[in-house]
Amino acid sequence: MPATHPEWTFDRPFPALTAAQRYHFDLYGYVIIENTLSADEVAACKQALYELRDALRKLDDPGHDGPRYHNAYLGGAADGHHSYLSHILEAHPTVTAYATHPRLVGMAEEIIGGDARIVEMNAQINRKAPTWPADEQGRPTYGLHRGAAPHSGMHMRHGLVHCNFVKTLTNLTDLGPDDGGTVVVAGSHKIDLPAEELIAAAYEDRSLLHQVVAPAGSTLLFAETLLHATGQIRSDKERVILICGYGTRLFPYWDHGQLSEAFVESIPPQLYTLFHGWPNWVPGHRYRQLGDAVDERPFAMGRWDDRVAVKSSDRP
Amino acid sequence: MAETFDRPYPALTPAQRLHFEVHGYVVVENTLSPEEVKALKDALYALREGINALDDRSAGGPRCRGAYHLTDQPHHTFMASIIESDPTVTAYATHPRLVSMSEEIMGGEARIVEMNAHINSRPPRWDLGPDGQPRYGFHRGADIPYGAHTQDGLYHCSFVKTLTNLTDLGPDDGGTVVVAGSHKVDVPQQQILDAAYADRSLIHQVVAPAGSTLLFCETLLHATGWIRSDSERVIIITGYGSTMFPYWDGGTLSEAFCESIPPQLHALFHGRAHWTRGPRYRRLSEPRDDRPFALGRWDARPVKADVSQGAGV
Repeated sequence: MPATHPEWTFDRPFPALTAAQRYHFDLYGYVIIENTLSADEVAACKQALYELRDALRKLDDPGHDGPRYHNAYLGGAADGHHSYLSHILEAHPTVTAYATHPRLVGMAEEIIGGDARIVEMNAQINRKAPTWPADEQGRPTYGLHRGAAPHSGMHMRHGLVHCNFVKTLTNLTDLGPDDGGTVVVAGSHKIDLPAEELIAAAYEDRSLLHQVVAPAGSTLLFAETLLHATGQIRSDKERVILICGYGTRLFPYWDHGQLSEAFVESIPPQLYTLFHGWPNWVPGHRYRQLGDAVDERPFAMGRWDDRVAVKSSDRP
Repeated sequence: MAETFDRPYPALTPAQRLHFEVHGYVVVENTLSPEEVKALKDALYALREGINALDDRSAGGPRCRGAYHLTDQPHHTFMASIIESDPTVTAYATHPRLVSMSEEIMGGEARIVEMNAHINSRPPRWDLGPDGQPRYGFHRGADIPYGAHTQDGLYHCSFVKTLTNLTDLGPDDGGTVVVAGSHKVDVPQQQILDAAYADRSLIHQVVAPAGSTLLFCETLLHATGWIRSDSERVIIITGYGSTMFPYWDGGTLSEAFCESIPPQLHALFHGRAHWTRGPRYRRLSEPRDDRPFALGRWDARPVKADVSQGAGV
């Protein structure tokens, strides 16, 4: 463990969001950025996830206590219509490339207000379920939940809201209104009330429930204080999404597993903090002003272990 | 069901909690008995001798049961990473009331993030300002927007310390100084210091009998005080953070020590690799849990079912 802050980091945009995108996030607790991945990158990620699912299905025990496949396992109910691929960070170089995508990391850090550490990574491949929950009027209900509380997970700086636990969720298939896009209670990221009260209010006025409808290659960036859930698929389409969770660099990696020794040895110095965090009380703050212009330099998904190294002191 | 250890809740009286709320600190007397104070002081002196016997006393040296000298001067020994250096020292870090006092300020379950001790005496010189009055090395370990939050009308901080003086501290004995109320003032540090040096009534100093604990949040500006007397000052400090936080004390716990940690102390020593933080908040008016808790043995804390902590965000 280095004794001081790493000399090297990797080049990534700052700010990564336009002022309008940042404002949308502040208002609703999420923003959808289209075209974060190119069509070729979407195809590569999808291919990697299908290969991973097939490999996991071949295991006698694909659960987290089983032998695993490149450390990944199938979490939750591995039934016919839904595969939840967990702890996939080192399962495939393309998947790792997604987690280290400079623009996606930059977006997450902008919401965190400082250096990010990867805390979890997973993917979902799902289809229409045999049954879905509904209320007494037959309207759909969802498993709305949050992973951080507004009072302890959020803070304000420069008039903007920040959260210490953020996710980038990218859909690798087109999502129309019937295709099960993620559902959120808009604006709930700032409301420090019991989740049940907010959910009840949102079910009463369903305009408060927003759903992701976006072309493949779009990223839902959201704070984990936002109430969110998987949507209901009513079409015959399969939905494939890839998710990376980022926390402040003080946070641990909590994805039911350690990174393998071989993988750890392959992590280049400029990605040290992103993968290992930083055992210090300093969270590595960095805050934008709303009026700051977006850093528009192009960043492709590229190779995860070949990110452009920059001196920490020289970051733009 | 997960196990934890029995500790009081709430650990502070309403008056103590309000004092903390206003000033960012509270001094709680008699947290340790005279016998406990003596045992700790003996342990720290023995540890200092143990480190002094090393060829290299620094973090890079062989260390004495994990501990080393961060400051190694004739008038000031700052021993760091002392958590496993002596069972009595470890007992201090796991003292049920002290842990719980910290958790009350954090608003959730605690993890030990650092532990150290100072033995110091009058320095050969001290920094004085143009007004001839002492200056201090004020600092904070957490910033207010990120490190603090409010719940049920009360202030909470994710990084808290318990600093217990093992020697009596009179006005000239170098008790910790703080800028009262700075835990809530989110302006550049220098602006606060300029104001405090202009009106020194804003600078409070610990004056308390041995066995008293200064409980403070790391958003509070604080510093070592100036010893002007001939008394030696001995203090022991544990830093507690949220269970999501890492251990950052210049080292990792030894394998042998880890194996000796009982299950009910797992979260306190190792934290939790999870997004939940065991939230727990008191109301100001709640009476203090007055059950007596002694320093005791660190590895024999009474087990309690973890029904109130560990879940929720």
